[in-house]
Amino acid sequence: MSDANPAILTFTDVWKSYGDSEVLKGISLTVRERAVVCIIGPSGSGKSTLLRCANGLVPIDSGTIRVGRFEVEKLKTERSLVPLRHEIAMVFQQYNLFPHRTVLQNIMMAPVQVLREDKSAVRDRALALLAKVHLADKAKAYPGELSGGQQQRVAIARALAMQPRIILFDEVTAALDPEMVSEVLTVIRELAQDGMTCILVTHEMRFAEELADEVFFTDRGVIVEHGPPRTLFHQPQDPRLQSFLKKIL
Amino acid sequence: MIRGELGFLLRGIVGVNVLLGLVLLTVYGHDLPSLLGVLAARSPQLLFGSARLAEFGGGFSANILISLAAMALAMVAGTLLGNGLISPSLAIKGPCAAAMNVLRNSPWLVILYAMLYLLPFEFRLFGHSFNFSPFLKAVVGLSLPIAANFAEIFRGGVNSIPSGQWESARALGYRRVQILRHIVIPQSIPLMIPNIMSLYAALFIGTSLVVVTGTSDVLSVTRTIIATEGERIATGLYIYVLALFFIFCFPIAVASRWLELRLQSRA
Repeated sequence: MSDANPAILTFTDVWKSYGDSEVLKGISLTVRERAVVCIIGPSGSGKSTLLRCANGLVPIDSGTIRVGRFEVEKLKTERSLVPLRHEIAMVFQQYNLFPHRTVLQNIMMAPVQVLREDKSAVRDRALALLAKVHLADKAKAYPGELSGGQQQRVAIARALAMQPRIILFDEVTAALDPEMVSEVLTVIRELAQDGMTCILVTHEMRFAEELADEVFFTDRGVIVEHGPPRTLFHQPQDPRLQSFLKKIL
Repeated sequence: MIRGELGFLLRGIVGVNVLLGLVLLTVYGHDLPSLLGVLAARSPQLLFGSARLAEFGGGFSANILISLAAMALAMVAGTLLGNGLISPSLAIKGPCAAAMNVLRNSPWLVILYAMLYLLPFEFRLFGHSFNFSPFLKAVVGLSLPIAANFAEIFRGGVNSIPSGQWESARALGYRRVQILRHIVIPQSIPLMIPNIMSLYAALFIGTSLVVVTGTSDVLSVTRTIIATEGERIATGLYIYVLALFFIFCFPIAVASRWLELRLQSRA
């Protein structure tokens, strides 16, 4: 179904190295609007770097990245990156909420301070988002008073407050206790069903299989294999993917 | 916890003063009552620089004023210098680091002497001319090494905020200056406060050096009194001044330790 939608994010032959170590070695991929894409692979295979290149947190060495109308590799100044961050939001493994601000303030800060939106409108939106992530009663709490799962859901609401068209999830359940994983996945599932374009780096294979339109398997900086989850998980072709799945499932 | 620290504060102040009293007793023996009489009579002069309480700004009160003015100046200059230290541009960072290291590693007395000769007798600002009084020279001279130390505290505070805060703020579209202002500095100020208080206590002790600039600080007054009353009184007088400094600085040290403990227990 998502094949009919236009591409919203395209990597073309993207290379990136840190000093001597090459992290991305010619990555090309396309994500269509409203699609859910999962990136799996062994640690150190460049998954997180790939996400950070997509929103310009990490500059690339060569290749091109298109996000909507933006040519990401050409945005060099902080100011030119602001509209891109409006378009593509990110949620981190360690939540990274701002501990000196309340939950509500965490969600409202960027739209008010970065996008200069009207405070009362942002406030209404923030409260609606809190309800959406099932935390309506925590508006006045500080991040330190919340569980990991709750903090991660606030982080998702904070990303949504920017009204992005794409959200990047970087191993968002990896730091959580098992019983909190499902509450976060539920929120992501609801987002996907609402039609948000989601790109997830994840180790939750069952979740990837259930939700993803397409799965990419990366190893040592290249995309080894990709396809719909049914084929990728049940008829893996590449021996590296086969041994990875054997280890993890 | 604050109760324990208050008890410590009281025990410290009483204990140290009893100790100093015992030293006085050993040194002066039968003469102690007459010494105490002189100290009592000279107290207004030692504390305020003149026999009449109405005049303020000399003696120990001058030390307090100099320390407050120098601290205010150092905090402004130190914040600027500290921002230079965390600058991504090497052209800004390099000179700031050089200035910080030179000032932080120079003896305060040397800087004060240098100020005596470097600063002009008067200077013009916005069409008015001002005198560089000994008081002003003392303030500027002391504020330089304190500014350097303050810059280092600022840098340390900013750097102690985890990089994840920067990353998530960037992902939300914040620019560097906005991240510092809205996210990093508000979180690092509580971490800096105990160090800033210790720095102030060190500065206050350092105000005893301004005697070389010719300000009428507590040590200048002490020397004048010794010159009129005779050398016999010197030991007692200096112990009295010692007690004044201790009573002022010790509570600051205790408070900064208490704040630091509280921060640790929160983290």
